[in-house]
Amino acid sequence: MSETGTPTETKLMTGADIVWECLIREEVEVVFGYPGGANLPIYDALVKYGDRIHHVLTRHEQNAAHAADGFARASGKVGVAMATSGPGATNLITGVATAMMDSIPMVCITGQVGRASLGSDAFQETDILGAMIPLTKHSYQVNDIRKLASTIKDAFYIARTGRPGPVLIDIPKDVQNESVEFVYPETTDVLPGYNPTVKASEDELKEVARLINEAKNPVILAGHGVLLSGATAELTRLAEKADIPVAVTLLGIGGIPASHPRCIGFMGMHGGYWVNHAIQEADLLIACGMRFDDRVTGKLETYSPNSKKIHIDIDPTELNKNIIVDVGIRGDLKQVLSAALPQIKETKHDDWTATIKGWMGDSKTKDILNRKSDKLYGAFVVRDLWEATKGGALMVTDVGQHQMTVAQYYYQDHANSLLTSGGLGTMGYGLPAAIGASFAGRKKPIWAVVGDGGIQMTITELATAVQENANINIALINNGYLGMVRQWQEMFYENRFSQTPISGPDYLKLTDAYGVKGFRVTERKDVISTIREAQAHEGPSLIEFVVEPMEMVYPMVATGSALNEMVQRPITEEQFSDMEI
Amino acid sequence: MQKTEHTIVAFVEDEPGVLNRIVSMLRRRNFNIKSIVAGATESPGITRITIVTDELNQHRRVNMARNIQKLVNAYTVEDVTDVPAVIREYMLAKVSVTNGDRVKLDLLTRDYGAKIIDSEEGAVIIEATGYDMEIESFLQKLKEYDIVELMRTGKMAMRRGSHLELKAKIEMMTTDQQWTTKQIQSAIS
Repeated sequence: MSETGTPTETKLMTGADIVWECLIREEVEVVFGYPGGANLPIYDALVKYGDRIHHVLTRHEQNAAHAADGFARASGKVGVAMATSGPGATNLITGVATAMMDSIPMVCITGQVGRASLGSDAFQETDILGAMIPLTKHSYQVNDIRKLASTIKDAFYIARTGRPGPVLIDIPKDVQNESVEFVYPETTDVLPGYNPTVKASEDELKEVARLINEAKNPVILAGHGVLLSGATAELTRLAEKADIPVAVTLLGIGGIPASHPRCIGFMGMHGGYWVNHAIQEADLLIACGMRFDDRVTGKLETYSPNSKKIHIDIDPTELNKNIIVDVGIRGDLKQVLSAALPQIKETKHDDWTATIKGWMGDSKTKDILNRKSDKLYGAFVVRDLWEATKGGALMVTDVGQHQMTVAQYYYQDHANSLLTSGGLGTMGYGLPAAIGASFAGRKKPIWAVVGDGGIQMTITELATAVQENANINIALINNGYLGMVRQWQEMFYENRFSQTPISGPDYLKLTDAYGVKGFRVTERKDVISTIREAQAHEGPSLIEFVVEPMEMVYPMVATGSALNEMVQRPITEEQFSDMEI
Repeated sequence: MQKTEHTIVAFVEDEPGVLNRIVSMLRRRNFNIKSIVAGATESPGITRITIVTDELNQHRRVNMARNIQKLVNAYTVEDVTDVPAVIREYMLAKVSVTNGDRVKLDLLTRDYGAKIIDSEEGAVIIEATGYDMEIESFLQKLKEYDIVELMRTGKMAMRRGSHLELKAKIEMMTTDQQWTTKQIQSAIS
């Protein structure tokens, strides 16, 4: 075994035991999963390791993957999900694809039919390796027990280094039962071609500094990379030193505090009108750890037409992928920014700041928060949740209108405090991710804001939350519609609401049946007090907010439109009469 | 003249499924591939792959090479289109002949440095190697005859000159146990 490193200890062990021994050495404390025929040996071995690793039994493997994802986002550690072969493994796929799109470190361990049966269409056999190759950062099938420990070591290493991502380890059942001398390698050494980051060159840094120092109307675009790289301080310093407004992507929220004077807010399809205008009118974009997703750029041909563009990303395949840039730097954001900072001149861009403020004023009047109304809107709930939690909650969302509302109105001052499926847009993500996050040891109260469509996709996890007594709070924004799809039907399909009205259970009875503390709120005056009551409850709670059904998320960039061609919220007559003209 | 084809040479680990990973990525990212050839090298455990693409957009081509490099099993990737390199293809063609055609066909085959390697009644098998223009031109000429079967391997590429730095790099990657860790440390320190 010398070729795989220095032996730390020597002991004969089964493959199943080796799995747990390796997880313990990777400092894994919680695993989310579901047992079945092909991973029985692993689950049998868990009985011995149960005091050192806590296993959370989700009610569906997809939710094990989402929970591992939520744990990873909340803790910064590698999330671990387990499933059996066949349907267990295929059920993981949506969760793995979600993690892949959002660069979340995760290791998935699946059982597989015995080696002799591989390829025979055995009971519960599926080619999960083949299915997962395009959906994971890397994937393994361990067909040699002697390679099991080093494979697990490598998988964790690959999952968390460079641009993080999910890694699959598929283990045939007979490999789990075989025995071998257990040696956990001290270092990863079998990845010669894996070179996840390089250092920016002096020339590149000089060019970055020159462009920033010469810019009149610069904008920083802060993405998820800011959080993954831990570059908040460097990014904030750059924004302060060169007086550059910072726009954040959905996953970049919290990369700079929302209350920081240089943070102008959330960009893209439902971003701030002023933010998108600033991007379009900029003469320099400094894209930091983001990937110019179509929801952020609008129509590519008209995207920020007059700006020079700098793009810093750890993944070189992101450079010049969607947007052709002037300077593309492959590197760790924290390292690149701190190396560039000494060459950046202190400066002020007062005119530019004033211009952006002008755009902001115009759109603030159209903001739903300025609507005087006794009705309960989803946006009011989120705004009040922000107030009641003093902006200090660990926020989790599902996907849809409420997700955009949280991005817009839960002003996030803290890093790694918004867990949301950005790239894949996976409905059903919210509840299981919140359960996963509750194991991360964060002190913040956890609030999962979900819609009535999304939660019904994974609502079975209420049982998991109760079994684990997970201290999570669920704010269910119930409008009786698949709201975001209905919004598109309203805007682009002439109000043909095809299959978007959706009914649901009586949530008070349902929470009661599951043993979750349940509340229902229909009027705004009860929002804050109920939030406080729910949060004070030890264990899972759910508040159903029955909100206005036909509300829309504004502003909005229609697909195929330029980023600054935003549809603003129509002003109500009430508001109009209030306005100072 | 703008080149219509680009040739990429990749060195990858010789492991089960590596070709699957490369092809899966190329398909997923919608990269257009004209040919792909994989085979053994002088180093055990390393497979050499030559990929020919007619992707015209330079950014897409660079992105394609980077995406291959990003695969954990890939050692190095290089676009050899604009460097001195030998690029060759092998072809087998079965041509139906009558006695009268045969003399002309022999001459044509000899002109192109090709060989008739099998001659049965009514049909011959011709093997040819060469750079793409040669093969294309030979095929044009062969069209006068009835081509019953045709098989082209796709191109293989090798840089001219000793070009030892690449070999040294791959050797370092495969022998230095700490290669990856060192790369990361040097990049973030």
